[in-house]
Amino acid sequence: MRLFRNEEGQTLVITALLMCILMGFMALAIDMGVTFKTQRTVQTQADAAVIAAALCATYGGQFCTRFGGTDVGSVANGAATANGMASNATISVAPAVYGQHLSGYYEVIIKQPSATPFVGTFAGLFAGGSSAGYNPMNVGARAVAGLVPGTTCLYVLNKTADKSLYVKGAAQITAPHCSIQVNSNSPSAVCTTGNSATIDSGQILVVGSQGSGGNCNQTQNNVQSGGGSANDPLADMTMPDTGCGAGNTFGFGGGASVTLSQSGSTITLTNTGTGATKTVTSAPYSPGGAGTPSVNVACFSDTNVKLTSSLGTTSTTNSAWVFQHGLNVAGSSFLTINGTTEIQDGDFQEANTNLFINGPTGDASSQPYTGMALLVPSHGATGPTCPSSISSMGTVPAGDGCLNLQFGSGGSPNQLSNKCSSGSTTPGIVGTVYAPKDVLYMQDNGGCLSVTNIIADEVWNKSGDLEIYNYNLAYTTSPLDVVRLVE
Amino acid sequence: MMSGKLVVKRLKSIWCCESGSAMVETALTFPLFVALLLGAVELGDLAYKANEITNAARSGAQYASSTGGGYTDCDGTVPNVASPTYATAHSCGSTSSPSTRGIYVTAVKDAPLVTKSCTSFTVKAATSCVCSDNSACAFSGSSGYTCAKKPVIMVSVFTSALCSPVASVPNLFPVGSAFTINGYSQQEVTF
Repeated sequence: MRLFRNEEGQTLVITALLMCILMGFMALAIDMGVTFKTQRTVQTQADAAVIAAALCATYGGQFCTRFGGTDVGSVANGAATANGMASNATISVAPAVYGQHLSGYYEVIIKQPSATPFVGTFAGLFAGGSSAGYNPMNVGARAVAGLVPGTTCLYVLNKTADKSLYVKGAAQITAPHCSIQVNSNSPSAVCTTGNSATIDSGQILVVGSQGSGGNCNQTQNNVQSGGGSANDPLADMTMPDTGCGAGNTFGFGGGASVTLSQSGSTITLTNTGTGATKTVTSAPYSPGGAGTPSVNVACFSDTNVKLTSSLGTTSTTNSAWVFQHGLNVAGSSFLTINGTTEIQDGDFQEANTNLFINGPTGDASSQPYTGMALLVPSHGATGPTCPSSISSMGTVPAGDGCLNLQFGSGGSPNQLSNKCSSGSTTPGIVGTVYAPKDVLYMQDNGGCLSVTNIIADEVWNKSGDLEIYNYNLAYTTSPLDVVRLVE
Repeated sequence: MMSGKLVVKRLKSIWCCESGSAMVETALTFPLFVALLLGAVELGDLAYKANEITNAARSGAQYASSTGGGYTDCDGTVPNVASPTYATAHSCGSTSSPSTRGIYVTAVKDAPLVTKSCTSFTVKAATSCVCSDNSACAFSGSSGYTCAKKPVIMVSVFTSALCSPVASVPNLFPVGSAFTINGYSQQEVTF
């Protein structure tokens, strides 16, 4: 039996057998690598597709014509294709049916047969398998996007100013549930001075960075520098003043001294010089055009209309009060304005007032200005002037005005569930303060202001207590919601 | 003087006896194994790097997409908004101002192996903008893109790197040879 004793070539035989197994492992490894790469690519396509779909569904217009599309489905398809979706992939675009985010969210699922070149090639070698009849492995990816509450509650829009968010003295900004966005690229865009000056926020996102030393001797820990800047989220909002017409604009003209008061449901404009009165009525106006949600608008054309009683009722907060040339609510009594308040031009005087402004809290599908409390879209020719004390904080940028909030230090009634920490009740603005062309200036000396959102060019707080509660605590939908990839 | 018999015996002892033949055969097949191993390592390394580079592009695009539209381009210049081909992609880098290098930073952070072991890691970005009412976007360096309505901004991020093979094999993977790996991602900026 010499045949079996001869061990010549043994290793070669073993190697040949082993090689088959090794090749198999190689094939598996390479196929898995290719599959993982495919999965990553497909996920990228799904992400891009669902963002395009959600933007189209939310905003329409040109958002639906990107990537060569015409509607939600085709725009998503186009976005996936632009990111390299293969022609043999299948894509489904539909309102979400799986997971936590359902109503109002869009879901994209892409399935693509993975090439798996080796399994495909070798399948034919095995009994019952064939390369032609081989079913390739399907690689899938899912993505969900939709409208979510914005996480930013304080926007400081100025792109270049030094100390654009400036907290000085015994001043505090408390924004525990949301982040602060500072667009300025200055190395001292955020500045806190004085031992008791604090900013308490989930996150402060700054394009530039936080100043240190000198005038900015305090350091906030949660500042993230070098981020991207954010656009004014309400830049394209049509203001209520567009709804002012002959039927709903009231005034005496000629520089008359005018007061505005409400008794029951009757609102009266009085010329204090002549004693003449006008009964104010509002008219419905749809800022989005015919067929879209409407708001009841009343406009006042005199300079510095003085408010002597509360305005509007809680049952009719879907109102907008447009002060075309200023509003004066100075005084120590408690006043409430229910509805959106717009200062189109002129001054806003409210020094030492216990003022409450309640923006509409309904759903955006029925109330166009839901969540909008105080709108100062541009300060116009004469509007909000700056008090002389502001020079201790800095120089107001050219073309800007001042929104000088100097609210009183409180008492009842209690309108916000969370108050400035002193224990007294705080005058507050339930809703957004929108003043993109103004420096929001607080020089309160212990006073305190609660608000749900602020959008301003710069924010200077000198010894005031500013509390900001994020939008999503008060509203279900709002113009500050943003489309985001959520899953 | 060795006799002829002795020479034959000697030769027989070389050719006939089998001790050590396994080692010789192993030595013969060893290069094959090494080649296989090198191939697997090389392919795996390449696949991993390719994945990283694709991922870096996606991260950069997603970052720009989620900042709320303050983005202009990664070097802050005006791209050719009329061109849908993004022919005017700009290089991003640490020399750009902080407000516009976010795409670069995000991409770099998402490609740790590539930035460490490859050369010429580059990130380019291009932006196109049109307003949602189909009017043209206004652009200024200080305020970025603005529209009467919402701007529809599309960001494309291109990444690429020159990666050398892990092992250099003369004539196969010669010293200094490298593969260029590219990644690409395109996303809309969300509002």
